[in-house]
Amino acid sequence: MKRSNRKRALWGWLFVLPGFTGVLVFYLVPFLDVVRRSFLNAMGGGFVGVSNYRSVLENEAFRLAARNTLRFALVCLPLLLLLSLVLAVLLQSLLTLPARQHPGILKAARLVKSAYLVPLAVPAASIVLLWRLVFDARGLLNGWIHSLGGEGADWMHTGAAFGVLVFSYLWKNTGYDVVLWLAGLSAVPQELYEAARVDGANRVMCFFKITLPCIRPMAVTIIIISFLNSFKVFREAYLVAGNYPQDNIYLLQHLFNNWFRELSMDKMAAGAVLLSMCILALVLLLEKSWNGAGRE
Amino acid sequence: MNEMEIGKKRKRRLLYGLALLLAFMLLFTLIARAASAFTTTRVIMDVPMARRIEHIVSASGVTEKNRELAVLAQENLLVETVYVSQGESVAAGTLLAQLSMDSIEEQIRGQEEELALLRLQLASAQENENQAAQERKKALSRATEDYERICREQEEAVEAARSRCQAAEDALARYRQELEAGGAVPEVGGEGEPPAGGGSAGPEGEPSAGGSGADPGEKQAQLDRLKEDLGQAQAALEAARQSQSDACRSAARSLEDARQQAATDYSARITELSITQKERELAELMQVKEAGGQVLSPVDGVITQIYLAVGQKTTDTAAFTMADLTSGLRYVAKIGKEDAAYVEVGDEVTLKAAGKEIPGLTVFSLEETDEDTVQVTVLVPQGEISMGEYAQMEVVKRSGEYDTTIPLSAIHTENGKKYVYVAEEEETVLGTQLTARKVEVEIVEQNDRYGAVAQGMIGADTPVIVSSDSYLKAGDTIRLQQE
Amino acid sequence: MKKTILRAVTLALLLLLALLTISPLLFLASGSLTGGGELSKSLGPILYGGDDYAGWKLLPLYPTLRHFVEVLLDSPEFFQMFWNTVKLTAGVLAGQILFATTSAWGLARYRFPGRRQVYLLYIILMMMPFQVTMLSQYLVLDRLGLYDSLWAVIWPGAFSTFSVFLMFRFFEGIPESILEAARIDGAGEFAIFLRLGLPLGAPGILSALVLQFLEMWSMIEQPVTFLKTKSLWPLSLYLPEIGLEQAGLALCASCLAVLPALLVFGIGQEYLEQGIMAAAVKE
Repeated sequence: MKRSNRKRALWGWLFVLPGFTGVLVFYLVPFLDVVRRSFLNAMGGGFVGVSNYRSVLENEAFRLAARNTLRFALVCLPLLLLLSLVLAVLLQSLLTLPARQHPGILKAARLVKSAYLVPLAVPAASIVLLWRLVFDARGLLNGWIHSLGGEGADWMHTGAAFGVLVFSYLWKNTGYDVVLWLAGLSAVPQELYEAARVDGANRVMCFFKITLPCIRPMAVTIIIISFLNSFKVFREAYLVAGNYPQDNIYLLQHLFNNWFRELSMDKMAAGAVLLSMCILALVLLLEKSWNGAGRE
Repeated sequence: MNEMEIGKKRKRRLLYGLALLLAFMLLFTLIARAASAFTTTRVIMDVPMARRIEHIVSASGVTEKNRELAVLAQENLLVETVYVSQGESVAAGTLLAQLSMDSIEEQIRGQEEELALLRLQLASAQENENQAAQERKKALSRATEDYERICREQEEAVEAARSRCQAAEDALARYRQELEAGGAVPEVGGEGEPPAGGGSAGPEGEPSAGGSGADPGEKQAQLDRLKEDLGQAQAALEAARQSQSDACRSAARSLEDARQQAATDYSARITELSITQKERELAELMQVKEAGGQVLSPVDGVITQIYLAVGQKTTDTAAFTMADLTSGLRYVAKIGKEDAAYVEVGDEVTLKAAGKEIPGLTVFSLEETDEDTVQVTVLVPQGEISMGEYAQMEVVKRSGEYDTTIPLSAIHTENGKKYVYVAEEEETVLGTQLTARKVEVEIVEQNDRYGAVAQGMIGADTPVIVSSDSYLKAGDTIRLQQE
Repeated sequence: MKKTILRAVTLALLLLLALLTISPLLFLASGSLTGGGELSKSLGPILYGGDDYAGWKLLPLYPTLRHFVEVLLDSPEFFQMFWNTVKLTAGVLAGQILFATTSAWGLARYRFPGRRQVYLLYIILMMMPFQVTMLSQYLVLDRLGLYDSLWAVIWPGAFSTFSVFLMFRFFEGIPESILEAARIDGAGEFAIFLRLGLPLGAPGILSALVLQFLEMWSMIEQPVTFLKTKSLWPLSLYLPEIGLEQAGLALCASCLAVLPALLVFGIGQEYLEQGIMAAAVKE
């Protein structure tokens, strides 16, 4: 037994090794090097203690970027979650219909789900052109608002750029979250509903009392995943506005890119370490606080 | 189950679609690449060379006569035969034309007759002359005699008048003396004899019974009379003098006239001259006669013009004009103004005529014939080339050595400025590519094949685009022509 | 009755939203078929300023294939970028098939010391945005001389732990009994992996691949940082460079760029969904 165990263990390692080597080489070891560098000066020379961290934290640009990232998350996530939840619930009501009786509706529902997922497949680069056309000061959106009697905004060059980013993010990720919600919703045992109905609960009560609690763990997951995805909104921001965008959409990636270009390796290192710590903390905190019981 | 199958079918179709798309993309990649390569201008490049700019000015021209001379023949003779034609080259001494001997004889005879006539004329003229001379002599001596006589007579008259005057004067003076002295009766005698032929009647010597103690009125009257006598005498003297001068003058004039008739008569002289002339003509005719009436070529040459016509008489102008070959020939050609800038008097010229080449000649002169052309003249020594032959001339001018010379095909003109294109490497999306870059240059000198670029405009090693297979613009992507 | 009405309303609402969601693609498609003149007119206000607002016709008045021809025949740059994207994507996917599958299999089916730690490590790495790993990657790539080459994006991508995680979930679900049976039959571990593991875990592998494909097809952060030479750029960096003056060309190129992604999406949508869900459920 022991021998087969050891053999097994060896095989396990064997399988894991190639990938793990790569991970080590390209991710782990260099990251340790980065940690080391965060304590040195820009050229990798003298030991400067925590002064890099201090300079990063005091850096105006860093503060701006961090503020923006946080603001973005705080604005987007609730919106996204709400929107995708509503859509998921609505969709679920149609998807759970028996196939025999309403084949058309089922097909339509499935089509709708696909449609919601399509934005995931569209590369940011392709769609950015359209965003430019829509959100330009003389673009389609303003034209539409104007025709309704309102006054448009200069979306690209003022604080309203934030709105553009939010919209873009929502467009892209709603489908993703809808799928997740659907998975979570479908995991809710039907018996609970039946029991509740027997007790005389109507749909709304069912929803609030049964559905929501059941999907709480999923909510945590979705929050985390969506938060991590929110970093990717840099793509749209970069493609639309370049390396030095309007203040409101200046994100962390912008900052890091600029640091990279200026060869401020010390700041980058410190920033990277800081960021990793933050994210780690956030994730762990979220999981622990929402779920109570320890999950992996 | 069915759904799954449909799903699978759909998936398979989509998969095919994807594969098709990729194949499609591949195809179009190749097409696009090929199209771009096709439309990319291909160029040939060349590195500038150091060389001298050579200007070859060539033109076609013809040799013509250098010196022309006229061959004369005795005038007024009949031309019997002309032995040469225009353009014929003759050696010295060649018989050019034959004059009729008969006409020569005729001419001679005529001349001789005329000469005889003239001689007669001369003789008679001389006779006349002698006679006239004799008469003149006679007239002269007569005039001289008259003159002398008149002068003498006049002189005597004047003398007489003068003495009478003197007498009157003396009488007056004496009377005056007497009056002052107290009245002696003067004897007024007629001392003076009245001149023969004398004019004025002088006081005839009326003894003035003067009286002593004549009364003052009488004295005065006597004085007055004496004064009057004197006046008269003086007047007479004056008259005498006047007539003397008049008579003498007219006598002198006559004498002069008589002398003057010695003015000559030239007709003899003229005749003499005519005779001399005639004699000379005759001599010439005799010469021609002795030469057998032949007109010979004096030098080696080429007949350029014949002015004689058979059956006509010769004129006093040239019978033949011929190009004197001994002085060599002249080659002329016309070149354009631009070419003329490269040719100077004294430059070395090479002539190429049928089959042979004559180097080492020099430009003799340059002459502007009209606005755009210049005529080049080159002297060609005798014997190298024949007259009237066409030949090509070539003048080669080499400039100083220029560091950067490029073929003319590399130079482009735009808006009055000149450009060349050089190749530059550029980082593009497709990788490193060559693009054409325009460089403004200044061409210092050029001929029809190369141009020299002013120093420093492009590096002496920079390759320039010499030719391209399509129109080139600055910034175009280019490719080097592969061998 | 009420139910039907409710259902109808729900469906209508959902459909409307769905239409809105895909409308950008419709714009893209119609725009790419619109002639240059019409485009200038519609987009004039954006390009040249003025008082008016840009308009858009869903159906062009004079549809033309000219822009497609322009992209396909006249712009070799487009293809250069396209194949760059293809190379990057193919490279990373190939790498993941090699490395992620094995790693996931090893982690899922074998017990060995350090397994938990490795798993944890992978999860942590999975969550880090590019900013965190950017510098470290650069240092390694520079040291290895891979900077400014396509490998700079391919190698780190090939070892992405997200795919490992996805595949892991699916490999986990395979009943051990099947494998045991094979072992008893005398199959070697690697053979088991190849013949049993891969087919059975195919959904997971495919979902990882689909997700990764879509990710690579629109990846921007890594290429921007690690690819300096313009001729190495993928489509995602090149498309924005086409200015609005060449709107027709840009729209066409964007269309063509979306097409493969859409096809992959069409093929692998269910895998996509599975992948999304698997990532979430962390049991």
